[in-house]
Parts: sequence; C-alpha cells; structure tokens
Amino acid sequence: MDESQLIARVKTGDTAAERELYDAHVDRVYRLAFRMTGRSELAQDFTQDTFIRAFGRIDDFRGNSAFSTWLHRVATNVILNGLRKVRRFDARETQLEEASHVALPVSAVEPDLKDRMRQAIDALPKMYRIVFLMHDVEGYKHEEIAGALGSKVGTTKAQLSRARARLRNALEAFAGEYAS
Amino acid sequence: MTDKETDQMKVLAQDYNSPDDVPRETMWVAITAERAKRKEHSTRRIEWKRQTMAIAALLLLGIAIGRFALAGRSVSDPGTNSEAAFDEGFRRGLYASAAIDHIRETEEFLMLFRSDLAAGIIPATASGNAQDLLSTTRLFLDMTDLDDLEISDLFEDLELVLSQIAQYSETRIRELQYIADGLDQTDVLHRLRSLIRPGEIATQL
Repeated sequence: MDESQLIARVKTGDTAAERELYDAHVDRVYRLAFRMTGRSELAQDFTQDTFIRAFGRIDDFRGNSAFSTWLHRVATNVILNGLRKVRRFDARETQLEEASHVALPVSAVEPDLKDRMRQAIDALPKMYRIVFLMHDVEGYKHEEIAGALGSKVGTTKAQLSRARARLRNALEAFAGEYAS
Repeated sequence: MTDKETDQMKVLAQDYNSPDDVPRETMWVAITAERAKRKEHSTRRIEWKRQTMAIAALLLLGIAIGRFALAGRSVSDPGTNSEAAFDEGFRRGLYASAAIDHIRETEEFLMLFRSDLAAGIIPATASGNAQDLLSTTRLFLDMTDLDDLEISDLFEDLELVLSQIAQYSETRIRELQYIADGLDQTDVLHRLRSLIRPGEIATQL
C-alpha cells in the first residue's frame, strides 16, 4: 500500500494504519531526538509528542510535501522548543547546585579527540547543530532538512558549511591526531 | 576543508549522542494512552460547553421574563421585594457558575493556542473552537448585568482576540503575529488566570 493510501486511512481514524505509519517513521524521529538531546527519556518524550501532534493534526497534511518532511517539521519544532524548556530548567538546577557546592577543578586529563568533538558539537549554535547532525551524522538530504526546518536549501548548506568550519577550528588542537 | 577532513569529522561525530535501541512499543503505548486521555477530555469539554450554553440561554430567558413580569408591577408591592431578592441571588449564582466555566475553558484554549503559536503549528480546529467561544463571550457581553467594569473589559478584550483567531485562515498566516501581539497587549491570559484563582471570582461575579 502506498503512503498516501495509508494516510487516507489514518484520516478516517484507522488505528492499524496509524501504527503502520508510526512504524515506518519512528526510528528516524527517535534517532534525531536522541542525537539532539543525548537523553533517552527526553528522546522518548519528544518522539511521543511528535506523533501525538502529527496524528492529531493529520487533517492539516494535504500532501503538498512528502509526509516524512511534514512529520519532521513537527518533530524539529517539538525538539527545538522542548530543548529550550529543558535548558531553562537545567540552568536553574545548575545555579542551585553551584550555590551549594564548591566548584570542582577542571580535570587535569586532556579530553581525547572524541570528547573534544562532543564539546565542539555541544557548543554549536542550535540551528548549526541540528543541520550538522541531520546531514553529516544521520544522512538527511538538504531538501529534507530545509523542508523540516522551514528554510531554504541554500540556507541549510551555508549553515552546514559554517558548522563544519567551527568544528574544524575547535579540533585544531588535535591537528596531528585529527589529520592522521 | 578537504573531503578527507570532512569524512574524518563525520566518522568522529557518529559517536555524538549515539542512539540506543528505539523503544517502539513503550512509546506506542504512551502515545495511545495520551491520545485516549485527550479524546476523553475533548468529549467532556464539548458536553461542558453544551451545558454552559444551555445555562446561559436559560439565564437570558429568565432575565427577559423577569423584566416583563416586573414591568406590570407596582414598585411598592410588599410581596415582591423578598421574591425579587431570592430571584436575584439565584440568577447571579447561575450566572457566576456559567461565567466561571466559560472563563476556564477560554483560558485553556488560549493557553494551548499560545503554545501552538510559539511552535509555529496552528491546528485546523482553532478557528472553529474560537468561533464557539466567541459566541458564548458575546452572550455574556449581551447580558446587561455585567456591572463589574473589570469583567466586562475582559469580555470585550476576549471578544477581540477570539474574533481574530476565528477569522484566521492559512491564507492569512501573517495575521498570526497580530494575534500574538493582541494576546500580549490585552494580557487576557493573565487576567483570565487571576479570575480563576479560588475565592476571587466569587467576589467579582
């Protein structure tokens, strides 16, 4: 059965079709949510919220774009907004912890290349990070990323290029190891 | 940046927040449970709205009958005062109950709408829901015993905001910003919440 028929069934409230559509897309949505959050419980929450919203608004999907693009637009909205709320909460928690603990010294051990890479990706601006993760890590095409983020292909290409340049700069301290 | 550098970077980045196994079943159970909960809540809201409208219609009818009956009586009729006081108390009680329900429902709708607006996704049902709430708001506005200025100002601002949402269509997506501005400028959400706070509404309505 092609996807447009499946979606038509979902619009009639067919739960078996909902499950089929969920199975077809859940892995990609979850992987993206996990890449962006690094936390299983958050990735689950965001994935669930994405499908709850998508099924609740399936009538808004008119087939002007691929369903995957539409679903990822919902997903990226949920993830980016969710992260904003989590960061605000985490920042408050950190302030509380800092107020009650003496700061620990920075580890004397230099981080290895993977740690450095992790820190560098964490430090990327949110939009650079999501474009980089979608394209270079999860293998999305620029057209899909632009559709999901509601921007233009030229913009996502520029964001990817800047993200890579920032990461390269951040890894320069490991130039020898990195280039080898 | 060379292709080799880019490829090395991609390999390194694969370890960044590497996903665990996808908990498909766990998430599906949570999704179906949450949707069932929302559906039940939505059904209760429709029933609630129907009852609110019925009470409001009854009130209007009561007011009209009361006025018609009073028009034929002398002001000094001795039996009328206690009856009128009882009727007035009963009527105001019904009115307050219907108004509380309406305010609570409108606050919930606007809060969800605001969060949808922030997420950039407006459900297709928003316009219809706003139209329903707008009809009830106008019904309250038409009731002449809105002698509390704060409440009547609030209903007038609600009328404005709800009519903007009711008229919203995808072809006029730019209007969303005006609606958001309207919500902020009129501060209706905050004012609605302050009315729902226990103890406050009873004294104001």
